[in-house]
Amino acid sequence: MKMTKEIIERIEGEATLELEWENEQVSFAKIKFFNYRGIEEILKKRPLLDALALTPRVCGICSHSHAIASVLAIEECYKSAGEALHITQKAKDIREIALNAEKIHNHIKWYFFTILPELKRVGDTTYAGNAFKDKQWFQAQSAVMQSLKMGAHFTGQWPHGSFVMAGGVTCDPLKSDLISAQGCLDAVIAFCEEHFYGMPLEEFLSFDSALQVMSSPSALSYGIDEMIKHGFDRLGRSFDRFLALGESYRYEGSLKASKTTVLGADIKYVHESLQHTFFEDKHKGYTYSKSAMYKRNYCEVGPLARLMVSKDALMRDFHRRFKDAALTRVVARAVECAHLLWRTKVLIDHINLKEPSLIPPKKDIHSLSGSGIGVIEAPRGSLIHSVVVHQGLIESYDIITPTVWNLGNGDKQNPSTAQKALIGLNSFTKADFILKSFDVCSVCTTQ
Amino acid sequence: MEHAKLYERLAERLSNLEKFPRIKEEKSIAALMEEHGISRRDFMKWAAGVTAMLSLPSTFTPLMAQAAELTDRLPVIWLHMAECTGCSESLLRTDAPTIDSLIFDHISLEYHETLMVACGWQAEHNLESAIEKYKGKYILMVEGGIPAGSSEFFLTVGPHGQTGQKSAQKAADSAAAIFAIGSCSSFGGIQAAHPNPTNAQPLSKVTNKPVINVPGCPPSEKNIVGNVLHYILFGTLPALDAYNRPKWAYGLRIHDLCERRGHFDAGEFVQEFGDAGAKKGFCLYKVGCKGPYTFNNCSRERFNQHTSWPVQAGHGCIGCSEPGFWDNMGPFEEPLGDRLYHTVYGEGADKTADKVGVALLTATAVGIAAHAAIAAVKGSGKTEE
Repeated sequence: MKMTKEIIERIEGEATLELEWENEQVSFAKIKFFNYRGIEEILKKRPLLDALALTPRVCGICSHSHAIASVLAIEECYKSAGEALHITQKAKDIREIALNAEKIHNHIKWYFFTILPELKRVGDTTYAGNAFKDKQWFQAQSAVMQSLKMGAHFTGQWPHGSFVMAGGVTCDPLKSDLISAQGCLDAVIAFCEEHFYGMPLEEFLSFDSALQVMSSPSALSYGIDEMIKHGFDRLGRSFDRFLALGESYRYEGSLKASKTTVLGADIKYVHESLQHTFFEDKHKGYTYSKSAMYKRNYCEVGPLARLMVSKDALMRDFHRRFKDAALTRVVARAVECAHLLWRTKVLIDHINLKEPSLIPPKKDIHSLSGSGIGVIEAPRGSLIHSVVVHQGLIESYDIITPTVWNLGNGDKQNPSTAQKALIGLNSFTKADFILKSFDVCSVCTTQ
Repeated sequence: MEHAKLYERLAERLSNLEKFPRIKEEKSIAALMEEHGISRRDFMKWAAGVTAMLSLPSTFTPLMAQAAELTDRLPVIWLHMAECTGCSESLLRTDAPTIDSLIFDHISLEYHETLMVACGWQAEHNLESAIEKYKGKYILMVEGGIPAGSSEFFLTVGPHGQTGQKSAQKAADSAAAIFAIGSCSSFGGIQAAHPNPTNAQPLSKVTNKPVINVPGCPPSEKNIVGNVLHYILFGTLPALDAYNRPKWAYGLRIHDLCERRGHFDAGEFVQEFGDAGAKKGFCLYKVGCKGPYTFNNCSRERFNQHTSWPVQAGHGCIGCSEPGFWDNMGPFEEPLGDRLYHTVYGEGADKTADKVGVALLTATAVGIAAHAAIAAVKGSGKTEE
């Protein structure tokens, strides 16, 4: 049996992809992450609120997501100790704006700086050009910056902003901040309309057919054409099983979907496994990444999952044509980005500045004991923080990141979502692209 | 040194540098800016800003502009260790004002794992050949803490499974100047926090060569680019403080130039998050701001294109550019002099100081003492231009 091992770059951190081949086809894949920092261990015995500063450092891309998941978990701790905190609509809106800023920037960045150059490389394996010298890069870069700048009006800085606190948010934006933030958002929308979608946002959001997207020239339709050319409309299919545990304005509660059937989901069925890690067996293990399952099943999380459970008409049409192929996964991010731009615009327009930003908890944090789980839909999918606190100090802290869902390692009988998508391929370049279609982040995965 | 003389010396260095060939035959920065719609006037305004940031007289602005144009004579290798990529994110693709990011793009970045297209064997080959080709000439920038000693296996990179420690040592051996970017690489950072499960160490602990620390979590992009330009202008290490941080960026405390400083002096404090003081923008010292102990220029330079910074968003400074801040500065939501309960770090420093005045005095005294101590070390030995 032939075996190949390659390093995956151009992601956050580094990963190794080990492929087993039979008859020129991938028969099994191992996704290995070789960096470990031990953040869950470091959190133990620290004051509870320190988690708000520590957990964002898990990831330089999703730092706001971690901060928000962490504050939700802390607020649940108060609830379990008998004090349900009231979070004002204003605080909720600001948290959502911050989270959206992060998602929007991530989707644009990933599409223009990972997907487009990777597609060029699939077409021409000698391509070593620097996508960053391209004019479009500079424009996409500006849009990414504007998106984060928009968020920074509320969060203070990106990455690693400190703006959430049990009971609400610490910032008190003024009307002038809103106007300035709106200006930044408009610049992002203008970029997306001109380059990403090639049409006004409203028009794009009214579509319900893949053909409508593909027929107008844009960076998105160019990407779709290229993917079809290289067969990614058929390759990279996985279990067609989706999970979205965090809240969204587009659906209610936690949901899962199998193909197009959507059902309720409950976090109590989430199971974390140490299979194949160095933690389970120092010698036989081969990665520092844990894996997560829902009722013993691997599920895909992320933008595609969110759009599938919200029964988005346009995404359903892509899914009808291409199932959960790499193409569908890529397009989902672009479609979600459009919805988020629109939603954020509405949020900034309607935010009520007269409400308080934060209502302080009555219970003294130093005597707080209890436990809580915070779930959020981060850019790459469901992010779960669960904490047990005793007398204000952290007893245990567990983080399940989105990439743990998608990129864990199963075995040959029951492969994980990404492994399933890789099996059957005939080239490493294609495997590399399909792995990246999950938006790999190794720093999150291993923490 | 007198200004005129210094000016002459820098001008001479730049004209010598100009004689070196460009590393890659690509467009000049001037052409690149024009293509991206940045006018010469904007560029000069930017150069004037950087000149002021580096505490140089405004007459040096043309030199700064020239230095920026010469950035393509300088090969840079950027390595990732155990980290979150936040520093790269902060600099390369997000935070930076467009001119800064353009210049960083223009610098001949020979190796950067997150950005390059190459992967696997090819990538490792690129790194090796860059080290070989520019031996003794390149600038090395390292992001992330480094699991060292018997724990070095917690981070391995590349197809040969080389440990992070070895790869950093190897790259450091032949570098002309070494910058530790971010608190992780400067001081060990989050992974080195108690109990330091992976024995993460700062870059300066794994190499014998002098390392310039540019801490912060994340560091401001201006501090990173400022260092590169400083190196081009002077060709030597900048004046450093006791922790090897460039003085032009880390010379003052956050507290010194804080926009809420007036409220501190007037004794107006936020007592708890969400109270009336918070709405009025009072001082955050009593809800844990570590600005009085932290040396950095955030209060002046801010983040995300000068948009905001944590104190503006109503949350105190957590002291992220100080060594060991994860363990020394916590709890982050309580003042240091006011700790009332056990933490992993032992009993609070001053149990009785829960009255405003005493707490204030303590803070000021500690701050002043720290400042004085550091100032004393600063004067003793580090070279200054």
